[in-house]
Amino acid sequence: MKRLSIISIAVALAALVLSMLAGRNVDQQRSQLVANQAQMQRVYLPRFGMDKYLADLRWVMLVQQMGQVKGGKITPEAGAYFADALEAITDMDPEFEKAYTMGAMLISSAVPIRAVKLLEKGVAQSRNPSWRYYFNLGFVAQRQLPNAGVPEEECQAKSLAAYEAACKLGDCPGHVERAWMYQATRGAGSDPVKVLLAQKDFVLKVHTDSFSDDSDSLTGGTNEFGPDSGTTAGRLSAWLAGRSRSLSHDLLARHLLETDAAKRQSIEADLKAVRAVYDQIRTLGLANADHACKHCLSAFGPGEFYCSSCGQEVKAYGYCRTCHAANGKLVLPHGAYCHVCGTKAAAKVTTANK
Amino acid sequence: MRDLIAIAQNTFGRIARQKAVYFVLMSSVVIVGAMGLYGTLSAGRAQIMMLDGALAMCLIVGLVTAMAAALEIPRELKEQTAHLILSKPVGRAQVVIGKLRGISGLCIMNVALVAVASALVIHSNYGTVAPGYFAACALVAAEAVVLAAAGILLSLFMNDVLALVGVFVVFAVGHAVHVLPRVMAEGGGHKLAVAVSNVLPNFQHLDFKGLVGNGVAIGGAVLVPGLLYALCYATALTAVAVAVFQSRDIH
Amino acid sequence: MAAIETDAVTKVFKSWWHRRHVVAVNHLSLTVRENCVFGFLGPNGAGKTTTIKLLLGLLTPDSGGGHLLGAPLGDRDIKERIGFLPDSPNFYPHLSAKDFLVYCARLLHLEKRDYSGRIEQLLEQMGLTDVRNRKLREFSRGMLQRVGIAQALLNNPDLVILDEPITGLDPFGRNQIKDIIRGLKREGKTVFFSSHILADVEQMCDEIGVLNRGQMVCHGSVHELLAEKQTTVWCESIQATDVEALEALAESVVRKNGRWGFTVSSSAAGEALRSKIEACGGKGTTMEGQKESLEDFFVAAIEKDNNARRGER
Repeated sequence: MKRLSIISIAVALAALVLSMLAGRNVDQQRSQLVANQAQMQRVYLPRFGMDKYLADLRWVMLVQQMGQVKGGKITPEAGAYFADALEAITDMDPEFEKAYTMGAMLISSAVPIRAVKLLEKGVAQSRNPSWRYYFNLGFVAQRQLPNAGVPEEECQAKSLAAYEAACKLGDCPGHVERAWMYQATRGAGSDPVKVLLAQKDFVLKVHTDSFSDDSDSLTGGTNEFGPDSGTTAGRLSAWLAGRSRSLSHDLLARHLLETDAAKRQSIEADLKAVRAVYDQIRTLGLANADHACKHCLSAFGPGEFYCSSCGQEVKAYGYCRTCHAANGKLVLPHGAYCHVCGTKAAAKVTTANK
Repeated sequence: MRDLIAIAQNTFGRIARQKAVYFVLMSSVVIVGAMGLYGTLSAGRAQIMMLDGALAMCLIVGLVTAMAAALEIPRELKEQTAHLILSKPVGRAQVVIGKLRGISGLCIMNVALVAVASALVIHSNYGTVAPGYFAACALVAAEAVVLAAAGILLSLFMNDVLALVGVFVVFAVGHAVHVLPRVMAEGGGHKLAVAVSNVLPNFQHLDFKGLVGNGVAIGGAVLVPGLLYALCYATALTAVAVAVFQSRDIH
Repeated sequence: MAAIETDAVTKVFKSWWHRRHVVAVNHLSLTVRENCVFGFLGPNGAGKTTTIKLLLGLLTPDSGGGHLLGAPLGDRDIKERIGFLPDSPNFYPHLSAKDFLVYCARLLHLEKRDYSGRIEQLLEQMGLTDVRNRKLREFSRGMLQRVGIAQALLNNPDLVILDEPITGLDPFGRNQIKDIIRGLKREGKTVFFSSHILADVEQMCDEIGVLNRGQMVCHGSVHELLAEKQTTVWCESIQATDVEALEALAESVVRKNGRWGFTVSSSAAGEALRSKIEACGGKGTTMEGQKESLEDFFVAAIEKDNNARRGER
């Protein structure tokens, strides 16, 4: 019996050593899965392996408590309470995106510094932090952080860096990119034309940067089919084209009503600048600016010979060679037959000049 | 070997008839299903909550089933069926290993039941189950096996209530011990903490619920060493239990 | 070769931190020969069950040792030749009688072809055929006891150790068990059992051992131990004057059915009295011994031992 006990103890020791080796292997594998070492090294109160589930339950409670906030206005006390709860939740689940992003926005008006810290914690702890972390961080730093006594320049710099980081992730929506652009050109003042020019410079810079750094997620640009809407520069240039268009409409309207010659001259200069912005974007192929009126920058469709917005003659495309799209009616450029005269359109119809 | 299988089957059959375990089992699946109703209350996190709930329920069911291990040998001694078994040509090692096998089988079965039922509930709601879900469930079952081995060991020198508490303490310590080396980051204390965390059960090695819940797919690279850790640690505990059982009197 | 042999076996139970010691079995030396029905008697707490556990290797002796069927105590292989019925068994309630016996047969390493017929035979023998598929939780104490005995006999053991086998059984059941024990003896088996029902022990046992406070008080054959308590010399005809003379020699004199009976304290005194009666002309003398009951013997032995211990103190 004693001999058996010795064998048992020997087996126990051998198995323990093997378990240590296996455990180390698991740790190595885990460190590969958890790219963020800050998460690996965090010290927290263990919750019996049910951290994430408990975080969910606490989150549900918190959402209900958020709903009880009267008038949507959070007092600093309530903000501090929510911030503590969010800290606990994100301790239990370090990758709880909603707790970081939604939670930070909730408490940002009452405790902006803690909201920023929460988002920075999220960025540090998350394996692949999404653009929402950075965008919300930029938003809170831009709008709420100055209210907490943090110097304005510091807030804006933090905001700009956060927006840029959000855009560099590549999958962010347009409003995030525009927020970055607005923040980057906030020094341009309030004159819309000057702002437009600054924004154009910004887009061109983004475009240039994207070509200078291949590893950057902003890379992309044009291709043979036109501007690449899958890149930040492409999307911003499209937006900028629209902005130029609406600005030129405003300027044309003002020009029409203006009686003062000096002012009319000034408006014309602005119009020229806006058109120049548009042309630059088109030249770079960043926006689909080929079929736009040169006068008011409005887009026109196939078979149109005059701008529907300002009445100026435009460089028509896509009309029927037989009937020339009588009465200015639309001719389907890629249709098999002209729907006015019935002539087979084929490929020749598409972009032939009058 | 035949006697070992007979003991394992008998143990499995006896614990499997405990209605409380099935109540926990059914409740778990209902809770997972209920998580799906929390869509609005969780601000659109219902799917993740269902997954987290399923993994947490697997763990609870595994723990509850493993706790039966702490009651098994004391009950055999109390009912004198242990005397009966040991009056037959059966070694004490066979009794301990047979018991562990039976309870482990039940732990694996119960965790698998909850895992599959929960997966069906999640799939019926969202048409997909997170990658690595079943691997995480397998590691939960492995943790339950380690707890069962701890339960058997503790029940050999404690009464049933204390052994039950002991299993829970092992569960709690096992989920906390990995923090020790980080708390004692430097100096001699760190080495001691590392040594202690190696000797005590470290369920962090088997806990990938958080990662899977956050969409990380875990595969064989984690699963194999994880299961190996559980197997080796359970073997170590069982070997100690065998040594204790061989040297103790059967009153 | 003796079926059971112990040599100064001692078992001391120690409480936590060794603050309290209880000597459950104290230098117990016991020999049970083969093909013998041995009754192991003793008051509650005497150490009977502890001794049985020591024999089966469930407890480890603190000193001393012994052999079971020639193998040292606790030997695993020899258990294939031993049958055991524990005291107040509470078998697995979720199993049926048949399943329980199958489980025990598997523990005994029996092949299915061997045990299936044996189980049927034992269920029949114990009168459990009709309830073979009923769960044990539905069984009465007596039925459980019969299932327990059936499992003890599954492997056709050479040595059967029964802890309180008759307890809880009705008179029919007791007779059945007694028949089984007698049958085992006829088959050449050795039966070692403890019991409180002394009348049955007296009827069944070849030898008895009385244990008190962990020590063997007496051990021997029933005939040897239960000595004649009184002897009555019966005389069919004797003179009345002689009766008066002989009355002084006897403890009591009775007249029954026309016969005189002179009771003396021992058979030797009876022999002497008989000679005197015959010398006086008494005719038709017979002697009738009155043996001590096992219960009286048991009580006297325990009291004597307790008194001796008190004297030692």
